[in-house]
Amino acid sequence: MKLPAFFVIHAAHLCLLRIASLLVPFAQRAEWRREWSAEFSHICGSSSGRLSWQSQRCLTSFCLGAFHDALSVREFPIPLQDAFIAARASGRGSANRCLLLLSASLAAFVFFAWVLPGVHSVDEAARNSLRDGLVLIRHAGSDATISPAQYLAWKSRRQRYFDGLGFYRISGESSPTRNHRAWTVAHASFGFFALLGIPLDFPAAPASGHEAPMPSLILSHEAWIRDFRADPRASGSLIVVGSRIVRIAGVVPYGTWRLPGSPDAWLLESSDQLTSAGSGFVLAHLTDLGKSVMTGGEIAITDLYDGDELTGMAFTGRTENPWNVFTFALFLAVLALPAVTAVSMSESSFSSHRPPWNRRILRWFFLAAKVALVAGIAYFAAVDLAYARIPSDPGIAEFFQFIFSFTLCLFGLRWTLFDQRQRCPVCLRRVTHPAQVGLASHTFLGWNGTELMCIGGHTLLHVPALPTSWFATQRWMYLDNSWDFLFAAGSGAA
Amino acid sequence: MASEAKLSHTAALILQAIQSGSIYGFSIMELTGLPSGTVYPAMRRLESEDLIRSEWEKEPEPGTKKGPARKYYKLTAQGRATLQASRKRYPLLERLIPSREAKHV
Repeated sequence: MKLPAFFVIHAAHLCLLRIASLLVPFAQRAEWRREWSAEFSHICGSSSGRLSWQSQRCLTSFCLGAFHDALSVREFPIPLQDAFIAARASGRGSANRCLLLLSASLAAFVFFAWVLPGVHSVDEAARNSLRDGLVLIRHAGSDATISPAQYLAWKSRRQRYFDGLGFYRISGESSPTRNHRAWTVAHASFGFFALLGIPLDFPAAPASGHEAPMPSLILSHEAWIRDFRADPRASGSLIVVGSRIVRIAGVVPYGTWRLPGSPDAWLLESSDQLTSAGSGFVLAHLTDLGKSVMTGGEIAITDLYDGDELTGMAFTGRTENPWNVFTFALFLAVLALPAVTAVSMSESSFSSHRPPWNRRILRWFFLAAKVALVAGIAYFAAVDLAYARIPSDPGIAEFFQFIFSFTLCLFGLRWTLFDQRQRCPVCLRRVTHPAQVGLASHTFLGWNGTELMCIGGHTLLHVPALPTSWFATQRWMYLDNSWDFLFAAGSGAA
Repeated sequence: MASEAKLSHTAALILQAIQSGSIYGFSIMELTGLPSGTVYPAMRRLESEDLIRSEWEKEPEPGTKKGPARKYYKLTAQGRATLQASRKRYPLLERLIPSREAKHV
């Protein structure tokens, strides 16, 4: 049953060669194709007796090499090729290249953070937190029981514990959305948002003369995203809510706070309009005296005129700054690092030779630069991932930011240490060409492990497969001039 | 002087493979273990520097089971001199791929 599959693969190979030939300049194409086709036929002929996946893989690899050849025929003049190959060879595994790649990644994530609207929202929320000392007043164990008249009575009296009061009640209204989905609208007193400490784009104008002021509506962040597709021009526009034309005075900034009723929009109303309807909630701002009598986030309130017993619950709306979340995740990652890798940079050398002090300092600088770049990448990548979209639940977004930050920091730092251990102490190039030395079954007779080589010809690195008492950590072997002949040919030579 | 030209180890290995009698691209790949994407561009380069020369085989007679004619490569005099110089720089070259003369000894 394999035979039809091999025919398909054979056709695919021929197709690859034909596509590769298109890269060759027209004048040389016929001969180039003839040579590759002849070689391909010869290989197929020699391997036809053994139609195996292994031989097909070899053929595929052969055909893919045709692209390199085609490009080399097409590519630049020889001196330019020399320069290109030399640059590529000298850059491979170098410290500069590593820092360049990390910097480029960091720049990409910073760019995404700059572009993504969710990241803007969380920054804004971190800046615009609610005022301290706010309490939500309600009757113990019940909701929305304070009448507008009671609120107005409190407001008209001199208060010792509060220096600001705001009222709102919840009602359902038809919305201006396409399907006229009912909105939960909070009818709030003027100055409600000033009490919260949230500035508005278009503050409600007080009544002037005979003209009634245009009612002001403040959209919740969720409604702005859901029903207005996060249109920044929504503020200032006129819409119909219920039976009234209102002006959108602003959008509540993204944040973790939620007032009871979870309104879609806030309609600011005068005291007269408020008294015409049912009970609601009162939000108050405590004076210093009020803050001093608050215990356990609660304050007991007694209405001396009505004899009502009420409770004031502390209302905070602080959105956690993404930087704080990140620093906590970084701290945990550093604590967890020893569980996933050896944090010690201990290593020994076969001889007493050590690189010059400036090289050693450079090596530590390189490590510090990598750690800083990896941390930066982890911060921005986590913020980008967690806030790629404007989150509907800020708590979940914070949680994901923490998880991403922790994971990226942990594995990023692990990679940083691993990479550092494999950098030649002399030129900071990554050692390459791993060769297995010794036999695992001879562990207690002789060392076995991996030998890696610095292509600059400075060092050999011996990493034991199984740490033993006589070979516990990796060892560097510094190569003297007698090794030069192995590395004499520049990588850029023919 | 071409004989003084510095060759990479790969290029020297390919010259040595041709010298040892592997004259087709694929046989050079087999002998050196290098992939086609390395061998063919290197051979084009060596050819452009007149270190090797390529020729086409004669087309096989119709009816014979032989495949299509293949291109084969030969060292030029300049290539032989360069290879000789390279052997001094890469002493293990001849041990990796013994030349024809060495094989017959």
